[in-house]
Amino acid sequence: MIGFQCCSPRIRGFLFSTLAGLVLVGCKGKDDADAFSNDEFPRDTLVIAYQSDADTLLSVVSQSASDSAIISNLNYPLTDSQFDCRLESLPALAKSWEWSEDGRVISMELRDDIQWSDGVQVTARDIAFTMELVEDPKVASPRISYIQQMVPGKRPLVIDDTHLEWHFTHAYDPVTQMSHISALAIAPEHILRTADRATLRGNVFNREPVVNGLWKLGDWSRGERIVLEPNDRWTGPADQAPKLRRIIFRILPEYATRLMALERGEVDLLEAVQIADADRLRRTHPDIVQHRRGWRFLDYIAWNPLDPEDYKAVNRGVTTGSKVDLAGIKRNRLFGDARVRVALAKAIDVDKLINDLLTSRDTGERYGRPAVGTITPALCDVHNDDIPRLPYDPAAAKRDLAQLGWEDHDGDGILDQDGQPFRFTLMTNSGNPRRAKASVIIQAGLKEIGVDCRIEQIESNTFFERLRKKDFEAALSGWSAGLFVDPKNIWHSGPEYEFNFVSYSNPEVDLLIEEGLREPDPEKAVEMWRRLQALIYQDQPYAFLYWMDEIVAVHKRFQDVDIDILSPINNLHKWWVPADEVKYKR
Amino acid sequence: MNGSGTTAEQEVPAANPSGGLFPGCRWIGLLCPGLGHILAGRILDGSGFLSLLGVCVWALWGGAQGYAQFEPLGSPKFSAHPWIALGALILWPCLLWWRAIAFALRGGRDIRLQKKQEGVSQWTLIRRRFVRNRAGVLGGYLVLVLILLALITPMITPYNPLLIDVGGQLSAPGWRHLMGTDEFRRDIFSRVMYGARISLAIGFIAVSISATLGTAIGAISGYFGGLVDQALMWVTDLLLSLPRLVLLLAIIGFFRAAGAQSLFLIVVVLGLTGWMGVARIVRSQVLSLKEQAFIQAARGMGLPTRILLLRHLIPNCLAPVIVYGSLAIGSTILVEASLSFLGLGVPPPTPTWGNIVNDGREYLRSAWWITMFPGGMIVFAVMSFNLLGDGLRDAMDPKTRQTGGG
Amino acid sequence: MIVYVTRKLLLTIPLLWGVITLIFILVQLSPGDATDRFFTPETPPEVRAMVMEKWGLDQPVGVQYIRMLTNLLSGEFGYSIPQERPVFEIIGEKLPNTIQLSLVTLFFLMGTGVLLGLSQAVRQYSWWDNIVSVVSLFFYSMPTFWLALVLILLFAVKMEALPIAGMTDPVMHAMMTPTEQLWDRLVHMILPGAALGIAGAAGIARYTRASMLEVVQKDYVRTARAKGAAERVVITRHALRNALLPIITLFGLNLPFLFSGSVLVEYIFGWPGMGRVIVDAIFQQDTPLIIACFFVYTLLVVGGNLIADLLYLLVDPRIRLR
Repeated sequence: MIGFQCCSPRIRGFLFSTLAGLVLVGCKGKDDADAFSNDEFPRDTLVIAYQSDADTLLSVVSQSASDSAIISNLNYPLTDSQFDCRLESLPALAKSWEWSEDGRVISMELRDDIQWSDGVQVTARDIAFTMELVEDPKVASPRISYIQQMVPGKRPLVIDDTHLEWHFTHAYDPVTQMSHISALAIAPEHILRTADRATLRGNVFNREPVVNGLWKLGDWSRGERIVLEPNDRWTGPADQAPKLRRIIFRILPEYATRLMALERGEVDLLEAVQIADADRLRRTHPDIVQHRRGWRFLDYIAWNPLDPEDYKAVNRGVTTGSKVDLAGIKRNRLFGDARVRVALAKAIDVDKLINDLLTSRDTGERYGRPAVGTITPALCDVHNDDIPRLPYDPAAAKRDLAQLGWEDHDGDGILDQDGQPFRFTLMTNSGNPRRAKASVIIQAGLKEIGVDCRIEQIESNTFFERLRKKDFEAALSGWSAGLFVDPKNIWHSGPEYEFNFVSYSNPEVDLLIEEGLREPDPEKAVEMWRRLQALIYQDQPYAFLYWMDEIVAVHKRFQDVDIDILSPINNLHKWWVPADEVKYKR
Repeated sequence: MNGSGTTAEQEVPAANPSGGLFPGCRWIGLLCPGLGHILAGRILDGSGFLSLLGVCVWALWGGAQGYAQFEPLGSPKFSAHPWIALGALILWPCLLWWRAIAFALRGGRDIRLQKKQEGVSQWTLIRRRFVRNRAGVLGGYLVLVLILLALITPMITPYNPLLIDVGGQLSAPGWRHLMGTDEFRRDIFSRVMYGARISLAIGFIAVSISATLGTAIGAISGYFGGLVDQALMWVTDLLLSLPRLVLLLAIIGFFRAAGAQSLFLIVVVLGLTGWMGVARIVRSQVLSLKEQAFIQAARGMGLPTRILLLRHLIPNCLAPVIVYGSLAIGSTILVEASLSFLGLGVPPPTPTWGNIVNDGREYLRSAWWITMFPGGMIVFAVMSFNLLGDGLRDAMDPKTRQTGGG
Repeated sequence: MIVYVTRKLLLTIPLLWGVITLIFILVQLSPGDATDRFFTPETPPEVRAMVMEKWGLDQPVGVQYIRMLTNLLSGEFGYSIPQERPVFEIIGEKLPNTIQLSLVTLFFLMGTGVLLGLSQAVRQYSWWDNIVSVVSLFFYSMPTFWLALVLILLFAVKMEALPIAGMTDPVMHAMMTPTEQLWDRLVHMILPGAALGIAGAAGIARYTRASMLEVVQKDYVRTARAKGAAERVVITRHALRNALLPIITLFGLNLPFLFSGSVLVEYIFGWPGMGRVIVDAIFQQDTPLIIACFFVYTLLVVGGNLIADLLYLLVDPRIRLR
């Protein structure tokens, strides 16, 4: 056959040397010190598939889920969180803490044996410095709103190296407050004191972070992988030292690739496995164990009780910043009346939705459950199981609507009143097949009782923008559940709560929220929250659909795998592999 | 493909003047268009006719089964479709029989051979060269079949493409669902067929836009020369030096947020980013035509520029534009699919081929049929257009060769 | 030749200016900006104002434009807004990966394409010719991302012959000897390279075949044959040399095509390259990064064309550059 004779040797030489040179680019030989080889635990490597890369390793400015996954492993938290029906704080960096009588001050004592990986001790001043960064508008921290709940000048108040006090402006639910302050990983003051605060996200700190946690950053090739290794300078409790050799987060943006990598064994852990794939994996890959995370995500339909056009018209005359008086706005001719919303809820077959969308075809296992509110069933004692669900009963729905004057007078199959048909647009965001399908099933159900629902799929950003501007009639949307009770943002009628898309306003609920958040006695608070859910459910501001679970697949050689609702990778230091099953010997 | 290159010129036309298996066999074509061709030895034409006829029969059968969906299909976009289908179902058989009768009347002799070579128009010459190119003709028939399929879609699809719950969840291909169902229990076959309509329409409309724009820019640039030429070619080079997909991403990504109507946006943007190749070809054609005697003469006679451009220059450049267009339809379908992959295509639930592949991506391992059938249709369609385009290119100007672009 | 190169390089300046201006206009026309992601509804307005001022987004469009141009003139590409890192640093991390993949693919597709095309032309209308024609048309007509998924499914999942994704083995790469590392890299490049290059190779094969068939009819080839030169010599010495000349120009023309494809291939194979950077930048409306990416793309394409021209000059002594 004819070869590449066309080129002169000169060119051929050029081509090959370029090739070789390029391939060699980036091959950094690494003298891997096998620091922990003779340990009581056989060492193995855990490879986790992640959809996107982290942006920064600084908690102050971190935003994405990938950021916090990495950061939470690099840093020893102020308090450890544990979730079993309710969120609990366990001592970690903070050895102990105490609430003041009025519930406004926490005094904390820190451990004195935790060091940064460069040998400097972690002190209360690092915490104060971290909060200082959050407060600085130049940093533009997404957590800046936390600060406003603290008394200026005491954010926090440093007493000495190991003692500090947090002063809040209001008494607040202790669990919520604790999880707020410990959600933030501490930044080392001695390293970042002089850093340029305007470009903290891209600070060189990301390349070689100084950490105080159980793991340290081994290697980070952006867009490809992040390698964590046990922190060999860990000075905290020895029983918490990691038992794996390293953890590798592999960045694979495409779901199909992640799944195939899991099947092939290139990856050991995959989050958010599709139900259909879970069924198949159960059959073909007995060496992959499936875990459930818990009820994290809610889908619902928001009914706008206001007339969107009138709201827009009134809003236009108002300068930005000041708030509109909602009472003066025309009610939506359909959803302004709670009785209509209740009737519609009876025409939505939630069980069919769950059966069709969230049930395994092989095992019949259900990954969805009907919802009665925005508080997740995972919070077992707070979630009100006693609320009687409105039954799926289209006939009753039709009767109810007829009593309200909605009947099919003109015989076109659509209810009408005063010549106006019962017709509305259900808005949902594109790129979410589950919601797309749910919307179609709901549409079909409503059609049965003579309600004409039109579906409009809108690009996600625009969708949320329109929700916030209350520019919709009905919207199929979702929440990811908070693990502490904080219904204020969604249900309080105060003007500053922009997540109250449905302009929900019930003085009794407002009062309950305010009192519940200040209630120091957990038992009493639980009662209040249960009452709150019942009250809201009566009004049906949303048609609550279902809570969803997520499947996490992990290779079976890992022991003590503790997947919880907080994060699948919260307790990686506990994971280990029996000697005869170690896959990566080096 | 086989006939490409200059050697095609030397081939002897493969017509069969003796008339096939038995005398008068071509009249069989009156009973069943295509059969006459086959019996007369024109296998390719015959099979082409037969498959077109087959599609029509299929549509009639489907209509008889009550598939025909004359109700608006949930979305107003689909409401006019049954009438297009009916029209096509009347028009296409007429066309087939007309061609069959014409073939029979020709008496088995290829009348094109009898005409004298000189004095025939450029288009006749092109047609002659084209029909000699089997691959090109094959591509032509495949494209016709695709277009016919897209036209009569409502008659052959047993289900509404947007309707959920028409079958089992993710059930494998079988008689009830020729291409299986997806996770919403929609019928993939119906979706793929309706997808053909939208994908082909996107291809045709976008390429029409870019061909028109490219011809105009190329002609103006070539004819006026000077500063106009330099400016226009600067823009052309500029757009050519950018990767098209990335440019499309940028434009659509930015404007999606503005809430623009997406199908419209995508077609227009595809049209506006695909004209550079045409512009270059037309420009070089106009440059060489400008020097030719008849243009010089027309100029000398004081013909207005507008007339000169529209009547004389542009018609003489159309051949390469048509070639480019038929090749570009294929690549436009590919680009549309890529955009869908990146989530910037036509928004769901409207089915396009790219869209269906994209929907099925998450089910690649558990339900291969969702991605494979629409993917296969993309390959089939793009191949057909490429075969046709190659054939046309060889026929129109055996000397011009392009790489086909991407 | 130096004059020619200088002239070409000077011509890229208006081109780059045009590209930058076009992209700048597009970004300005679109609603929202890169700082949106910093804010939640609770963000105080003074923080918003501060951030806008930090990135100069509070200035009038004209001022922003002029400022951007002067910065670029002084080689200052600025900071990526969402990442707050120098644009230069981000591109520096990703560009070598993309160039590595593109160049290897380019040579692969040129080599395979030319070989296939030649083998077809030598035996025109043989069964080999027909099969290769059909197969290359088939691949030429395939959507890149679809091909990529099918390749992974076939070669990595079903046959378990090649790694699924990534640039290197995630676990073992760091512990390999340099030769093993080189091998590791090559093995990881096969599937993405094939997904990216097969369509291009098919195109080149078609082009080579046609070009070769044309050259074979030329007088000098006939002369060579008439002189009684061996067929092999005729093909390699006389025909091939001339048939390949136009193909060299395709070297540069293929680059934008490859960069388009790399957007999809990098996404599917988790390859950390420019394609993913620019897609993210576009979705985040990260103006400085978008502009820098387009700047680099344009430079690469222009540079590729220039190299092709120079190669042409090296191979064909008849051509004089003006």
